[in-house]
Amino acid sequence: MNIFIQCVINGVALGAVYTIMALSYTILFGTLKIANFAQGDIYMIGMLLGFTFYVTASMPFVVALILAVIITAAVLLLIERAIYRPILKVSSMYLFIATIGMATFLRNAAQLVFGSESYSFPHLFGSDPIQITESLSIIPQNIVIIVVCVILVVALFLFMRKTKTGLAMSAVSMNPFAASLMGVNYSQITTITYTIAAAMAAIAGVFTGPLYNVSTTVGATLGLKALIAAVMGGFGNSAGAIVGGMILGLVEALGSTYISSAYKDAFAFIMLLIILFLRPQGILGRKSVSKV
Amino acid sequence: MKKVKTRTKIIIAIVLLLAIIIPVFTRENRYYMDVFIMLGIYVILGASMNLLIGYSGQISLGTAGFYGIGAYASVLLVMEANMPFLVGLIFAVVLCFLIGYVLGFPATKLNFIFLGLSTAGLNTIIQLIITNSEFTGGASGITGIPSVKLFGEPMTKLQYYYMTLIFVLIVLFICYRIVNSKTGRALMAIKGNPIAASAMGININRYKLLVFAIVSAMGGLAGVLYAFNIRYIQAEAFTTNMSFKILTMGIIGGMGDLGGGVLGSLVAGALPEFLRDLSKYQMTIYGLLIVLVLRFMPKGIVHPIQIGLDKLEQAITGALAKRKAAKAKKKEG
Repeated sequence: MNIFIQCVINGVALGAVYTIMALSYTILFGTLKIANFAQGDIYMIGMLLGFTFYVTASMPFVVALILAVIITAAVLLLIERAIYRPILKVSSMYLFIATIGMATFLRNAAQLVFGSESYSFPHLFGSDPIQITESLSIIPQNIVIIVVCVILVVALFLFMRKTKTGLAMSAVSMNPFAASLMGVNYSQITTITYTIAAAMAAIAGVFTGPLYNVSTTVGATLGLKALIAAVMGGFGNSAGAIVGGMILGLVEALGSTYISSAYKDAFAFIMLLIILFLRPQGILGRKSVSKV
Repeated sequence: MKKVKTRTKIIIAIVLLLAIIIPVFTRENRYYMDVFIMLGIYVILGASMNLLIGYSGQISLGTAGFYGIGAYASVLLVMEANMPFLVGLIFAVVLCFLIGYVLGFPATKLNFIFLGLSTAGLNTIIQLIITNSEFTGGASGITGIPSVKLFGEPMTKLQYYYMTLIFVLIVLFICYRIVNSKTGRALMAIKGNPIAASAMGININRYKLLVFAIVSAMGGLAGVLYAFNIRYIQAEAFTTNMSFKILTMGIIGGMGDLGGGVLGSLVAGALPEFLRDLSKYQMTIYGLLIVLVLRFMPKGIVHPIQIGLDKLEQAITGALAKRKAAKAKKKEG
């Protein structure tokens, strides 16, 4: 029983990471109908920048975090303006392929800059696990991640429901043309949406640095799995991203303990296939009518 | 059926002639022969990817998975069950077709994002199975794959190359037939406007699924040809990086253009041979190629060549017309 509870604790922490990343996919897809395949590599850039500022340049953590978020957002905005926006005018499928190319490019270009070694990121509150009972423990960094996830989720929901910009984003997601007739600046909303998506990925990157080794390949699998979590939950649906992220985290933690740890990376994809068969619109997704 | 332009016929004839003749001169050089055979395999992969994306509006990020299934299935059948090469080949192709059909079944109903994800998933799962199973030789792979025999004698590299070339031509012919047939027109209608197409009675899912399964089978065929040429397979040859490479081949030539698919495969496939010293930049360059081509040449690298040929053709017909006119004048005078 203790092993099971321990797995659930680890699964929730892992689920928190997936949730943040799934939300960063979802906000882009929900608002602009864009699936940025390179989001996992944006996360990687955030982590590397956080590592550079915090460890290499030994800045205070908060300063390193803010700098990493700002620069990561600037990178994604630059990519959006220079590459994504012109391609989107041609076709949304071309854009999806371009984001795949961008992911390959960023991952390998980063490796040329940072090398293929992996570095360890110091834990913020020490790496000694906190003992809950005799056989149950949790790493402080996992608590940090869960808290950060909760704060981000609450902040995002308040932003989307209570601020004018957030409401404008909802309007764009329902009907971009009608929204622009109502005086919503589409270009500005695009910029804000990309900024939020980049910031969430960078925050996830900096805070998960201590849990994973810092390397240029860290974003590839994580990004793919988070996208799967978002799709499973119902792509474009924020609540779905949370449900998908948490379920994926729990399944991976339980599956790697009880079934096989060698096949840990396969669970996400097997779940995706099952859900696509049974409920193609995702767990919380609504069936779209215009699709044929 | 659409009429093939004389110009296209000439180009095909020239390329085919070069493909047949050049290897005769390099038949003693194993390295060149391997490069040529590999280019043939890349054309199969790239052209089928081009068909998938350009004509049916679908995507696969797991072609290397089918490529791997084809390689392992045929090798295991030949080595463990002592079957002839051709049986292994047919088995692998049929197996990939069926897997593609089952996998594509839920995904083709949805958009390309889901198909991209589930194919990337398939690639990862296959990668994990290959590395963790005993029957695939685990991470160290399978060595000592028997060479393909022709009339009881092991094939020479040149013979193997010609066999590959025949398969390339078969694949290209199938692609061409799919494009210029009822299926091709249905696909075009689906790409143009899926709702209108389905209102016209086109069963969208059936066509998309059929193309997806055929392309998967072609990936398997490429895997068989790869395995029996190198005669040593291991998991590393079938990673998602390979899938991205295949994607690059299918895209940069020009989507929805079979000639573009061939050109893109040759360019992207030959690139590492020219950039041997820069091999660590390989994937960076592939990623950049996809992004830059889509950004600045959405019609692919074949488009400027086409424009150039158009101009050349005009110049030639113009010059011929002038000469005719001059001759006519002379006669009159």
